[in-house]
Amino acid sequence: MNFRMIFYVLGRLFRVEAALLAISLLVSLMYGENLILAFAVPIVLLLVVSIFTSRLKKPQNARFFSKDGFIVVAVAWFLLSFFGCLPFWISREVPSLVDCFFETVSGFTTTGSSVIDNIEDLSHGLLFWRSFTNWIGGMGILVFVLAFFPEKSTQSFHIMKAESPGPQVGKIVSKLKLTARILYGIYIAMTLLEIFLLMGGGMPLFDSIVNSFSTAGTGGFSIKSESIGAYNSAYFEYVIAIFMILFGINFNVFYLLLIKRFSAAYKSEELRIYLGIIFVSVAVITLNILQMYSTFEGAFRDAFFQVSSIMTTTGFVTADFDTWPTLSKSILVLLMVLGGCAGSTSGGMKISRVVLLLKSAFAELKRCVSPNTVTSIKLEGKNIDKEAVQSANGYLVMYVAFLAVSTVLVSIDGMDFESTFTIVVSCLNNIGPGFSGTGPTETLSSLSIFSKLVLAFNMVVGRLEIFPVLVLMSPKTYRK
Amino acid sequence: MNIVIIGGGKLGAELIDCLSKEDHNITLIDTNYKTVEKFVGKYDILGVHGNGANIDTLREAGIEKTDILIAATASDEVNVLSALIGNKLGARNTVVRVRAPEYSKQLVFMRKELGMSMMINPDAQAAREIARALHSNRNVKMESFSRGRAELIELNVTADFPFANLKLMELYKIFKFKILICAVLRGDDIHIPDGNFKIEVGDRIYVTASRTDLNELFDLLGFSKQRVRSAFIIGGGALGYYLAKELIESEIKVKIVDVSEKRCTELSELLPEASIVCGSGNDEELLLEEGIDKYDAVITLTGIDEENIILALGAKYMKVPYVIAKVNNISFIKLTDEKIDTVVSPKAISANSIVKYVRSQDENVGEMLTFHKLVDNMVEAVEFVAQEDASYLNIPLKKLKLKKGILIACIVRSGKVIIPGGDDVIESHDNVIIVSRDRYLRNLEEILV
Repeated sequence: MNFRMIFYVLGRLFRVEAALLAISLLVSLMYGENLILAFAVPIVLLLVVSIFTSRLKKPQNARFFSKDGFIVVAVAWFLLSFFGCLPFWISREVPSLVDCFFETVSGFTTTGSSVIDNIEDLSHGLLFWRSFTNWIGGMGILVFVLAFFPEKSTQSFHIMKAESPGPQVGKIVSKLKLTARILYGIYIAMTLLEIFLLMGGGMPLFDSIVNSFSTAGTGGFSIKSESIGAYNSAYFEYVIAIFMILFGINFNVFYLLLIKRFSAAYKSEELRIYLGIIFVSVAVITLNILQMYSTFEGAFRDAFFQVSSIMTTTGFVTADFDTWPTLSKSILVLLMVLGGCAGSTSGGMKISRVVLLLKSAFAELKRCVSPNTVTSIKLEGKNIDKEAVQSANGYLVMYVAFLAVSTVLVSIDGMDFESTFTIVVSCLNNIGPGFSGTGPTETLSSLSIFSKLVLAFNMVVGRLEIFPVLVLMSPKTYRK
Repeated sequence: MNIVIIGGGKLGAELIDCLSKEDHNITLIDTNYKTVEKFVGKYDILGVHGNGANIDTLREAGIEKTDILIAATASDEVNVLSALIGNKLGARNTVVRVRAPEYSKQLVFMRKELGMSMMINPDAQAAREIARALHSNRNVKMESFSRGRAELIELNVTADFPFANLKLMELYKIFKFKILICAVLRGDDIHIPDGNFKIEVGDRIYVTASRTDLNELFDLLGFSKQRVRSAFIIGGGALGYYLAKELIESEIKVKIVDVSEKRCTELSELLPEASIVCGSGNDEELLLEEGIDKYDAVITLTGIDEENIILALGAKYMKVPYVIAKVNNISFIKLTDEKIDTVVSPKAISANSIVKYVRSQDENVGEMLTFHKLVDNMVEAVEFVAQEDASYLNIPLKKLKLKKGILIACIVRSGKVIIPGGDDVIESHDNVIIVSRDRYLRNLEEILV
């Protein structure tokens, strides 16, 4: 295992985080707030640590394998969250260190669960940083480093593969750096578009920026305790809902549109299933909740927003869906687990993975009926080899295991089953709100420290799609 | 430039290794999914899993925008087909590898009629290299520049060398002829030496000089000058066949040993002037019976690198003056160099000519005449033509600020070889040979800071 390379990559990463913190510091200064110490301390710490870890310039032995990629990504995300939580703690605006850590992990992993009761009292600088973590975590901070830092990225593919979501990660063009830049380019453009549209509808600049950051990363951090519902504007809700859906689409599709291969984009199997599920869910839920609303449009809007929010694992809230009938709530739980498209910023299991698993299961069924049949599984018209199917199956097993064990651990707190189970699902899938006691109108501040740590851990596990964290924790990784 | 390589085998792998360092957009097509995965993980390239002759696969690899399509699969027919289709779909240039001897006579016809830019026959190329090495009369590894006027040779410094343990400055004062030591391999480190660099025993040095000066150096070092009049070839495959043909034409007596009776029969029909022996190269008795120890040169060309190395070492042990082995795997080459006189890697030779072609197609590359890769591809020796109006002209070399790891090894002006000192200048239209470490130079301007 190439420790030097791992430290070298981490060093570069810390410098990037320091730069991002500096931007937030600037914002806080613009609002005349005194957060200099709160931001300066982590910035300096990061720079100092990065000097130590990257001191050897680029190590001679730049061999970097798959295992190293996983380790770098897992370690990076935990450390990033730790350093990133310091502004909250040092400024004393969030007193408990565990709470700060939880909030930052929730930010980077684009979960969006909050343990802060008094969001609206936080200073601008901190609120900006909080939503900024959503934005960076969405597309990935390591991908950000790969895109913008001058470096011959030969074996960095393993890093991108470990951090990017989806059963099969590939490059868009030959060069990794270019691929990362294209992804970030599309990401930035769409974020700016949303900011522009929100401002056009009358939302203040600061709110437009932070809400767009949060939408882009499909995180769900809001600066209002009632989330998006607080704005009481149909326009904002539609704009945000549409953008949430957009950010849940595989970015490769956007690239295809950019290079004018429209028919290839249109034919994307995953895209069609994604949109289809959204359509059906919105329809069913609208009808189901109709009796609770005075207008059809009201019911439709809330259904549309919530389905978009939950399916893309953003977690913004415009209605207390906890009061909805069980049919709607069950559909929402299902959507929580499903997640958005692979290659997007959303969480969950990802549609292409679920489709792969289902196809593989149906192939088994065929074999039950006719034992000698030979089947081949296709995704987007391409054959999927046995290993990808195995990998997806392994993922499912691990996922269920984490879900089960975490539910048991969090239940120590003594909440009811619905609250416990849904918050674990929500954190593992990086959504945000759960149901009932951990639902959209509650905050998680009353959870025990232990539960908060378990949930934070689950958030990272979910965002990195399980295996990087397992590789980090497994003794086999460290044996020669 | 956009380059598509079909086939991730030996040649494909070598090409990816060289070209990916030169800032091109490379896509690999291979029918084996694992091969594609392996290369995509190791190099900054795009991989497409599929058949290179398949239109959809080629389209997926972006054939319409491809500048150079290189067909390097194991099958000649697939290579030609892929190139034909690729050409029609929009690839600007195609390079095709065709190995089979049956096609060797019609390569020019095929290239012209089928519209391919370049055809590579690795075995024929390697045979020419070996023949050239045998003709040079010295058992030393040599690369030529400027049509043979300047040579770059590789020498291992042994204790009896007159310049072991001397600094370069002192060394140059001793010799009456002019040579330049442009690169030194010590252990695993490569040095581009300056005047203060001390040569130690065990170093491998790369020396440039004109041919006449080199001969003087060889005489000084006591290298024997021996004309090769007979050659013993172990392994009668395509390479053995081409080599035998070349050598026979130069009136060298050739004996070929091959293990397959069928092949021996074919060879005896194809090469009536050669002696063909059926048997295994591992059979020492047989080799001695056939008089291997009395031949001037032994060339081991079986299909297996390891066998070639062992057989070559055995021949050296029997005191055969000149031993050449075919070794494709670059990591083995490092182990063998002390004992075996010359190691030939057909895939490296082919890759080299393809890379040269690729560079010649690159508009950003200046006029490059020759290039050779040395020391496991870590050092490049390139020959450029100095352009008129260039910024480096007519400035004394000691005043030129060169980038690190770059050395001006040799200047050839109007046929005369100049080993440059600090006061020499580069004039326009000079052929300038540059040795550079780890750096891909596109033109002469790039040597300057």
